[in-house]
Amino acid sequence: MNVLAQTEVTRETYWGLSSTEYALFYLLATVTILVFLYGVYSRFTRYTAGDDDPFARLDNLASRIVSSTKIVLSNEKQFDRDLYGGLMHAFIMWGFLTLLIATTILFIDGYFWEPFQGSFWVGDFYLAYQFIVDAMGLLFVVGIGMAMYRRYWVRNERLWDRHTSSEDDIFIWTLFALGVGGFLLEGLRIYATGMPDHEIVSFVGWGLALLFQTIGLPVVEGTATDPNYTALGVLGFNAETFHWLAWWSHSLIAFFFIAWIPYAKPFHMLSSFANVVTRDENAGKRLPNVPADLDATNAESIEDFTWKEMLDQDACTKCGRCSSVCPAKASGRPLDPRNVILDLKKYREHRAEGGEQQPIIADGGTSVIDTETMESCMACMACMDACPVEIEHLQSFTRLNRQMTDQGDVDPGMQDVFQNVMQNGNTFGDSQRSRGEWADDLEFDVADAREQEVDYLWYVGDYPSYDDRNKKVARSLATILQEADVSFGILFDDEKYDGNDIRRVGEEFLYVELAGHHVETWDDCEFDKIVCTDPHSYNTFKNEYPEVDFEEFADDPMMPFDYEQRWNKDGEIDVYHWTQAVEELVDERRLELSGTELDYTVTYHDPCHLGRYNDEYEAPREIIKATGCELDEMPRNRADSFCCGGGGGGLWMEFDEEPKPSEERLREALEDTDAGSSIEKFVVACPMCMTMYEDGRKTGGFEDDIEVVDVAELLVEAIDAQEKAGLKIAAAD
Amino acid sequence: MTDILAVTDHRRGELRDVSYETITAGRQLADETGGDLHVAVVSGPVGDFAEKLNREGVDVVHTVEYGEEFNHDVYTQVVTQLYDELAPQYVLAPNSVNGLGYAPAVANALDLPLVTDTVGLETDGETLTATREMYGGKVETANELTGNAVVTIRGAEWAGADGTGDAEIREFHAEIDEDAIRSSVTGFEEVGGGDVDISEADVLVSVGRGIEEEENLELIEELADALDATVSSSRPIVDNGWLPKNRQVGQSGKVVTPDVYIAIGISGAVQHVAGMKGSETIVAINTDPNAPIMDIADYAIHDDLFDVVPALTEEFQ
Amino acid sequence: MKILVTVKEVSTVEDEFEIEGTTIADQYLGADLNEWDDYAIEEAVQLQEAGIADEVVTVTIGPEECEQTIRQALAKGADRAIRVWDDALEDVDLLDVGAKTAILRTVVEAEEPDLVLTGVQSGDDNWGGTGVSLAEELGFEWGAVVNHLEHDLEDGTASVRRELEGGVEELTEIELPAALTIQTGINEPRYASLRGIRQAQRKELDVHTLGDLGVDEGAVEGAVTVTDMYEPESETDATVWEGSPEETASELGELLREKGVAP
Repeated sequence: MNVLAQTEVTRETYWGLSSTEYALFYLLATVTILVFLYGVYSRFTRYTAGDDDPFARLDNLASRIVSSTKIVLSNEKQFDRDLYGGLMHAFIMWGFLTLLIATTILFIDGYFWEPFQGSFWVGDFYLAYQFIVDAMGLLFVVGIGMAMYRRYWVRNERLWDRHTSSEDDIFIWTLFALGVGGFLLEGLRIYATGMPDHEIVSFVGWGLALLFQTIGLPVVEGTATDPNYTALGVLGFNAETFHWLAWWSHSLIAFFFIAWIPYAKPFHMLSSFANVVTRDENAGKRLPNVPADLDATNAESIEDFTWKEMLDQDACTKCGRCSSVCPAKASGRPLDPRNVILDLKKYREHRAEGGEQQPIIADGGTSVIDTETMESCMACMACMDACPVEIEHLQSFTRLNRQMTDQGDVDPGMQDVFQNVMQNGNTFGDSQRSRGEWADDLEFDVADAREQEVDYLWYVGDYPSYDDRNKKVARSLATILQEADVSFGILFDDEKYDGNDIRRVGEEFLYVELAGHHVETWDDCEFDKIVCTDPHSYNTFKNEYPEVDFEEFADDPMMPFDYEQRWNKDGEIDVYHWTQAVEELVDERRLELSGTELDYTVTYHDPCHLGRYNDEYEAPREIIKATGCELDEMPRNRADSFCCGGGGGGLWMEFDEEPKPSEERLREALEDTDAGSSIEKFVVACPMCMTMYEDGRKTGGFEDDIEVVDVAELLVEAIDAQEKAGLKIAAAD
Repeated sequence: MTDILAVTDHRRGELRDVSYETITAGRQLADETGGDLHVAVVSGPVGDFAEKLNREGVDVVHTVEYGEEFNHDVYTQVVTQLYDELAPQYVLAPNSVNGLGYAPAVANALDLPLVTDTVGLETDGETLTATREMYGGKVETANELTGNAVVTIRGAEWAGADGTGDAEIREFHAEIDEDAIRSSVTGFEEVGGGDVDISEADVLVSVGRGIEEEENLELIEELADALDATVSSSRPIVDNGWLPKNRQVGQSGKVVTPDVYIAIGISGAVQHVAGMKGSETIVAINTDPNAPIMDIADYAIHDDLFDVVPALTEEFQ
Repeated sequence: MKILVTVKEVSTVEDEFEIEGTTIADQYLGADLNEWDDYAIEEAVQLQEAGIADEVVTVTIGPEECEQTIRQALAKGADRAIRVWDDALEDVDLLDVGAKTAILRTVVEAEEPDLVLTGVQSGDDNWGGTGVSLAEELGFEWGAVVNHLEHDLEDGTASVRRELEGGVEELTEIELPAALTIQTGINEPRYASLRGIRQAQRKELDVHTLGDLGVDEGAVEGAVTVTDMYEPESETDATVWEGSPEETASELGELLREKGVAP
């Protein structure tokens, strides 16, 4: 049967096709490509019609493409927190890309090589080609099988929500048909051409051919060697006819798929990649500025969204990873981050089709997004961390929050906070004069950084200054710095609220006012570094203050500051979270610590603003370990940490939630750690977390089971300086 | 020109307590000016009312028959005409919702100074010194005026007049200009009525802003269960929708007089105190020793409710 | 229909403060939009949004410094603002109800609103009389302590609920034109963002002196003078239980058992 020499093996790609069919095929191919190109063109013209994005997205394009290619090819994002999903997607994507490359090779060979110097798709190359295509094709089909199993059998809840639609079914079934159909086609060809030995390299097709042989599918004699053979000539119950049918259906499905790409879910192959390329490494932790222009709108209409925000919507594959890690959703608050992105997309498409205009965000169900939804967001960035295609939820969410503030749709609790900040300069609405009173119980005096030069300018923060529980943290930290013999000072009544969270809730102008006050005050002080108690302050000082364009507000009579530069433009002032500064001190042995002082079993909760926002996971852990405590991790640690519920204004608003995020997290500490219920202390490194967990401890009934302490409180106990910190009366306990 | 005219308050067939308090304040002023105390009761069953208002120290009760319920247009006309008739030095009215509905109009119509919400009054016959609160009770001020005036008095600052007097009961024929009555009362509604009547309870466990969050109410409910007591609250808790309106103690809520009132995390705004000061024993649990509730508490615990309440629940389980 | 809302910037006092003469020392004072007026503004703006009111105008009596606060009302949706101030008012230590009535009367007469909304009272000096007094002066009908207003003023009457004592509400029909004094809780006031307040800079804010309005300076010298200010004596004679929560709880437990009310 094998009529060709081993070195010349190849196969006929249009086997059994008449010249009319051949022409028809090319006509369809041309139409398909035109439809595809038009679709892609329309999508991109829509983006270019969108508003400019506030951030550079296309600078260093070459390196952006290289790093994105790495991210995409490795599927690293898909493997994060989900091995099954990672394998599934990797199989499909690698399989698909291999098949795409294989087809491209054939295209090049057929039109640019073979007509001039003869095909290179012969011999060993052909055999290797066939083997790889079969192997990767099999992977492709396995991946699709895994996807279908998860979608239809397990019915993974992530995949089923109000935006799940027939396009998801069509997408996966089309891929399935292409994969399985391709193998059927190959098997029929091998079988009908007499099972040439070398085709055993196409092992899946070979296996199918063996199957056809076993069931005895009829074959027409001589078709394999007849150069004039056409399937139309031998129609009937035979392998040739089945091959012909398989060939055409495979082609038609492929044409449909290609043409459909820009119009539905498969577009993610392009849009998601584009979204990864145009990602902003600082997204979320550094929010965009708003123009000083008072007529600029935030989200009055869908036209206010930037091209990147639209691309975000189109990049979404509805995988639901963001929603599955969202602490607001987990606690029953009415937020589902995926649905927000997709609701916006749906509305945009609805408008493009001439649909009626709706408010983007409002109360009472008449709008695209409900205000309650945005109030629920904790700005913890878990969604963005989980998103495999780099959707920057927080940028869109901030736009919506700013629109709510513009409209006056602000939760009463949050309104009080805004008023307090406006009138008093702090979220408590207390007198600024009493801001430094937390230090009264210390056995030493804290320097006034406005009057003397210090190394560390310590920004204490609202909660450590005014909240009784957190005052203990402030006193602990003051004592630690004092014991380490560090020169430090605070700003007393010139320290106001840092603004991080009210910015996230959308009160941008108030934020600018606060930032202006601080940079102006710092300008008059002599210091090396800024050290923050609160990761929220740390984040905004480090990432956002340097990008505020104060000059734009220079002529504004309502902005009380007098500062026109960019603050810390070149980064000459280091901004630290206190654990980073103190870790250095511990390393330098400036605190008396042997590492055996404490023997508590503890777990540590990564604050969003320190961990996910700023990648600082180890400094607090190193300090905890340096005290001798045994540190046991919760399953959701580091970048997977679960927000306490206090971010994004959550600290100041009331929610109907069950379970409260703080209670759920304390449960995790006591049930899901290795030490389980023997965890004695739940260690935090953020005053807001402290407040939320002290609360969750009471409401969740954990008071007898676990204590909430700050890293600073552990450390001050380890260096035996609690008395000095005014935390216990001599000889007590 | 040294007489006092005190106008009384009633609703749905009942004289309100503040009416008797107005009499006490009126008598005190009349003693200081050396004049007579005239009491006016307008609308409703005025004959019965007049009997009840004939308390010690009342010289004349003027009754005006016109309709059943309070109408500010009627009151304004009647009181203005009574003033013209009697020429009193001071017109006293309760600083109630109804009092605020006509006293300012009367003062303006008569071109008299108005002093509202007084908690203390004193006159030498010439100059009236009225004590008022400002800034939500953080300070008190002395306010002086000479000549005649319209004054409203805060409820529960003066004791209710008692005893039986020998007042003359006089019908006053006011000429009511019907065209000037441009408002009408069409009904009343009890808001947030319901299963529980807090005014009947022997022990009330009452919760205020200090509870911080809705979820924390559980602590209070557990305590109430353990004590076999009823849960009530101050206004903010009801405003937040955490408890129904029928649980609210205070001026715009219910007036309660339980044997024991345990105020938990309640600062004791005057509107709240107005509703519970008649309780036999008041216990306040509050971290702030300066909270106004401490002024009327019989027993106090200056500690965190989140510590004390569970301990107390424990005590009874 | 046109609505006039009277608004006032009130003083707020810190928890700890000192008294100087008959006022509180400046450094302990803050300023805020009167809480009750905030509800009145919201009600007016909602009437405008519902297409019932065509124009919402605010009026305040106060010095230039209060403009920032007053602009909150413009930021929330009022169309324009009127501010009345005069050197003659600087010297008046207490602007009483009669004086405010004399001034506001001229503004209402010039503006000819169908509805005047005022807060029930102001959070600082708590007089609670201006709205009703003003209505009487103008020959308007009025309603005091309104906690619900039907958004249907078609037939020239306002259906309101008045919040009486003891959890009772009175349902009242009031003929227009009228002044209503608005109680807290009637609605949920919106937030005036800093952006909104800045945008409100562009809205009209007319300043009038007494002379402009034709108010006689003598009319604003109130009849009432504040002669003293002091912190009220704490009258507490409470027995204070001290000790750990367990100890204090057990003291209280004992009391309840003594009273025979504990199980």
